[in-house]
Amino acid sequence: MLMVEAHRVHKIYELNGLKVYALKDVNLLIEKGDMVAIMGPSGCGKTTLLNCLSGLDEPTSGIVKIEGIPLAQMNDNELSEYRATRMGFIFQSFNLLPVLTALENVELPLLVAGINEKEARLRALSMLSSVDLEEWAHHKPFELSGGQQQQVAVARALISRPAIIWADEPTGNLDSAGADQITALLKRLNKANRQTFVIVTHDPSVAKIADRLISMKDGAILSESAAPIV
Amino acid sequence: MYLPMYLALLGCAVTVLLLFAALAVTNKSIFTMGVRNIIRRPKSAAIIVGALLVSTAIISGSLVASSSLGYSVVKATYDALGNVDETVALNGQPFNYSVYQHVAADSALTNNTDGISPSLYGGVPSVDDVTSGITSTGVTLVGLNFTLDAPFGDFVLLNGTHTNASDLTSSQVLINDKLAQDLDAHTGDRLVVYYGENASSVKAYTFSVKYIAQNEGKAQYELNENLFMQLSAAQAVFQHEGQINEIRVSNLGDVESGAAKSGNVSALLTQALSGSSQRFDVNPVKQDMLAAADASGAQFLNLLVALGTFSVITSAMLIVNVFVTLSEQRRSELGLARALGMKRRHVIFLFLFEGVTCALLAAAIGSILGIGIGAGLIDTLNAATTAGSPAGASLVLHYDLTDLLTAFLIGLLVAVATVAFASYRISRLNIVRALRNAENSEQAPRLPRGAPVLGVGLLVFGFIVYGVSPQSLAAQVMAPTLIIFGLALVALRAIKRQQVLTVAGAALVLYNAGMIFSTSGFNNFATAVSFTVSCLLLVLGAVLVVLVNATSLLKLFSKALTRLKASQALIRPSSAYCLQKRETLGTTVTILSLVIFLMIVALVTAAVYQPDISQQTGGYDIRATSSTPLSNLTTLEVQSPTSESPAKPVALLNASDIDFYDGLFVANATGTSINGQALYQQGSETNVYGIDANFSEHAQYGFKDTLADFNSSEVWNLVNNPHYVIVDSSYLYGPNGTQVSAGDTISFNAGNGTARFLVAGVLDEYYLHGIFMSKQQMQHYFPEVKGDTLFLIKSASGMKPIDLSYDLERGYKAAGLNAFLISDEVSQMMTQSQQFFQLTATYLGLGLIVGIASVGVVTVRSTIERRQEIGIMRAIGFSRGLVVKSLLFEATFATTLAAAVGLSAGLVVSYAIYTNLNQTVKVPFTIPIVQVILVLVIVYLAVAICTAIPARNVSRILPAEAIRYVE
Ligand SMILES: Nc1ncnc2c1ncn2[C@@H]1O[C@H](COP(=O)(O)OP(=O)(O)O)[C@@H](O)[C@H]1O
Ligand SMILES: [Mg+2]
Repeated sequence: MLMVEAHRVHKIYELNGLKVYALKDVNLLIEKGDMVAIMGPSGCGKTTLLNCLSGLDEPTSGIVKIEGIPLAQMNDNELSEYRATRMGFIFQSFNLLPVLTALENVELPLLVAGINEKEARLRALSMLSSVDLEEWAHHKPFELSGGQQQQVAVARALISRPAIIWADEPTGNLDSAGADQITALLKRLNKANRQTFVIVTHDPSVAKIADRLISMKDGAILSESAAPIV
Repeated sequence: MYLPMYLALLGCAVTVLLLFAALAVTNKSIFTMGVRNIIRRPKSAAIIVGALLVSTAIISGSLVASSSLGYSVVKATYDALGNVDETVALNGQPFNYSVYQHVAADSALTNNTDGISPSLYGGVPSVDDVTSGITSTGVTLVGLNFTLDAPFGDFVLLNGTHTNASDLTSSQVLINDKLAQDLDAHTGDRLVVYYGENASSVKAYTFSVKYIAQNEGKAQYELNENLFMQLSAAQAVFQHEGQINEIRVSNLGDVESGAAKSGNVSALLTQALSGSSQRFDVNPVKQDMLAAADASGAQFLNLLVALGTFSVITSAMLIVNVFVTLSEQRRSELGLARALGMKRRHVIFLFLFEGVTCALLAAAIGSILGIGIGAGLIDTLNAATTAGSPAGASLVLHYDLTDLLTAFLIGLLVAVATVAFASYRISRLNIVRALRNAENSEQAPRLPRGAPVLGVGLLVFGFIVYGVSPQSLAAQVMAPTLIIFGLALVALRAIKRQQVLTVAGAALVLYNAGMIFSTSGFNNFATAVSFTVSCLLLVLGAVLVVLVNATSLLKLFSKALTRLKASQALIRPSSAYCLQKRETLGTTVTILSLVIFLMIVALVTAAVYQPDISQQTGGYDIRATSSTPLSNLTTLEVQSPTSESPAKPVALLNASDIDFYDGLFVANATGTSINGQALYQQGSETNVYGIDANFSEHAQYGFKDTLADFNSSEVWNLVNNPHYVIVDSSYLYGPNGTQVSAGDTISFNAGNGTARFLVAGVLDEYYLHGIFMSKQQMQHYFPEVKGDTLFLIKSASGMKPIDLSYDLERGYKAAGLNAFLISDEVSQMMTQSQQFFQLTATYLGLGLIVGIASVGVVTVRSTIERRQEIGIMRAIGFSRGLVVKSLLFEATFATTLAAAVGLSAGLVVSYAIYTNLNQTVKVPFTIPIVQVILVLVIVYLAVAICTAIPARNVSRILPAEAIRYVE
């Protein structure tokens, strides 16, 4: 079953009259349960592609469909609800709401999805313990290490059992021990729940856990291989 | 402005500017950078200048307005008195002409004065112009020896020629234009003057108008409608042959310089009169009036200072927020500068230079704009003052350079202080931002180790201030505050912060509430300042209490919203933001508390002093009193009191001009008390009215309070029972001014004993100010009352009440009938309070706009700061609407806290003002609930709009862009 389809997607940024062609005619199909890694040099358009595919950004032209529905046909409420129930996001940094505790951050997507407080709390606690952070549940993000913060972010992205998880350089800000932990975590979750993962990364060890690898250059998909290249 | 204060101010401003110049010279490159920033970003600079000039404009406006008032009153004094510097009188009684001769023969006096003139003057009930057929009441008749009065200046006739009027014969008069206008009189007209000691002795005297003088100089003596005649003619009218009632004295020098010699001449006059057996009063009238003018100008300024302070404070908070918000937009630039080695100190300087340059500009523009505000205030006051107020002439705009300079200096100092604080905040912000997440500690910052020492220091300082001069302003206002915070800092070592600060805030509230209740009036600068500061500290104390308890209050608020089915996704992050952005919450709550506080005070005070006029009229248009009882008001017999009958008959009153009228008995009771306690600030004399069924049927006064189980018609009937009376709501008694209520006992002296009654009902009216009983009862207690002497009249629909009142006065001249328009009287009773209200409203408007703008700026600031976090929320699934609602939640919570503080503090202070301000009319304290709710709704709406607009904008940004923003 197709999870994501992109047809002839272009993205042009205008900066002071200067046109930046961030995506040029991108076509892409992602199957349910795929673990896709997107790699490429800095500035080649990886983040832009991820944002356009996930609906955080709007392509200048082209069509993006998720689970068969064109994103352009969803209004803000539908898209928001879709994000709350079917998608999870992990960013490179500044992932967590600094004013909330780790537990509250993890709970938040459930509350947005309208799940009652009690159940949300229970599920968030078990999610945190699955990433071994239950002792840190009541701490604020600034009291956690970078790796721990990112683990909380992963927990938050997965709490509502989304069909698809988008990760933009999830290990970009971490040291190698932290990166390894996150990589292992992602791999374990993908295996366990057959969720779709789309991960933008520089990190070969992250790429290694993917089933598909997409290389980008200058806003276009350069090559694609079904098996990881090391 | 007192000179030492002025010099101190000048010194401060110069020092600050010199300091600034020194900094600029030593940091030349940063200075140029700052100035260049202004030129490069004219829009930001304009916003800063705009925000900064508000306070200067307010200060300048206050100074200009009070200058104008002082000037106008002084001018009115000179106009009213002309060359008269002192008067000699005998308590209004006539005295022998020889007293004048004795004074005029005193050589010490004649050497120091340029005029001494005898006069006999007084009010006459009415003057008819036979030619025009118009009657005027309230005319002053002045009898003069025009030759002796010549040194007091000439009359200037309408055609511009001057005369001292010494050629008037005993049947000719000079009238001023004010009277001529009223009578439509021309030279040659015949005037009939009516006068009698009592109704039965009224006589008519005929004169012809020889001169009409312009309303200036002595023709507008006392600013009345004046009729001048020879002294001997006046003596004939007043039936005081050979007597005068005033000696007027003009000191050497002109109108203005003469006043200064008043002390000396007064002493000479007293000495000259010391041999007499009668006790004459020597009044330095001009000096007294000038002193009063000074005092009223100062009182006015004090009031303006008090009101203006709140607007100045809110605008200062606005500036800090504007500054910080604008600086957010150049974060990257600043970051770069810091990376290139700019120190934090230099960041402060950069903003300081920019800000102070703007402040100079703003203070200059603001002090000039203040002229406009002053003119607006004067206009408002003129509009509120009905003609015939003590100042008489309407106010004219007047200011001098010192007013503007003072405003400039104060405004500059306020602006520089604000800018300095804002710059400091900005530099801190950027440091914190570098270590971004450290900012978000829920715990308030750790106490510095020196806190208890500082606390002891504050305590000691507080006690020293108190010890040095316990009566001084500093001791009364500052010392307790120092002591409270000193104690708090010490206590923090042992006791939890929340408890300590709650107690400290509460102590501040209680102490200042006490101060506010013990203040009376705004008679001097010190009281006005201490009142203002106390109000401010009261509000701030209350704000402190709610802020330190914000966590529990927020729980309550969230619970309430959960009941209203708000989702936890909305409540959770919003509450967290409220609690952790304490500064944002604090700023918003403080500003809104002050705004709501001021609005409530203005509203309640206005409502107390400006109740619905229609409620006071009872459906009647005219109140008429007669000196002799009249049995029927509509059967007119024209009575000609003397053989001297008018040449033309006066227009007669038609019975059909009156819709209906009610006649009442009137008597004056003494020794009135309620529940055995004296009346509150009213003396113990009161009106007693005898009423009949007509009155109870016609009068549209409702009852404010009745005996239980009685409806209003039953209460009216109770009046026929000798044990009951009805009173109106003007009665307050006891030390605290308790309002009279049904079931109270009221008593007064009657015959040889005391009459005691039960109050059956309290009328919702205070205009008539009386006790109502049946006419039969009246005759029992006041046998001297022979008939109706008070008439409440409703004019027929085609008849203008004002015309009817003239007709009535004319028709019943012989009965000494005076008719008044009830609506005029009621609004006149309210004039003083109206002025107060208008002023408050003007400042309120400013404060409100500034306050709401600040809230808008605060929200803009949070949306800018939180843009990236909002992006994350959107990625998690927050819809646009939910983002807007989250920001609204925070604003609404802050508004709710502020509403609680502002409302309660506002009610307390308005009650204090109510009990303290000495008003001519004492009316019950009422809270205008509908308006109060309306005000709160307006504030909520304004805040919601100011929040929703930036919130909507930020929610519309694509999440991808919001997240990218900070990277
Ligand atoms: N909001 C934006 N405005 C203008 N240019 C942008 C914006 N976002 C990205 N770009 C440009 O688009 C290109 C692709 O950026 P991005 O997708 O972030 O690359 P990557 O994630 O591969 O490093 C870059 O040249 C970048 O400068
Ligand atoms: Mg990227």
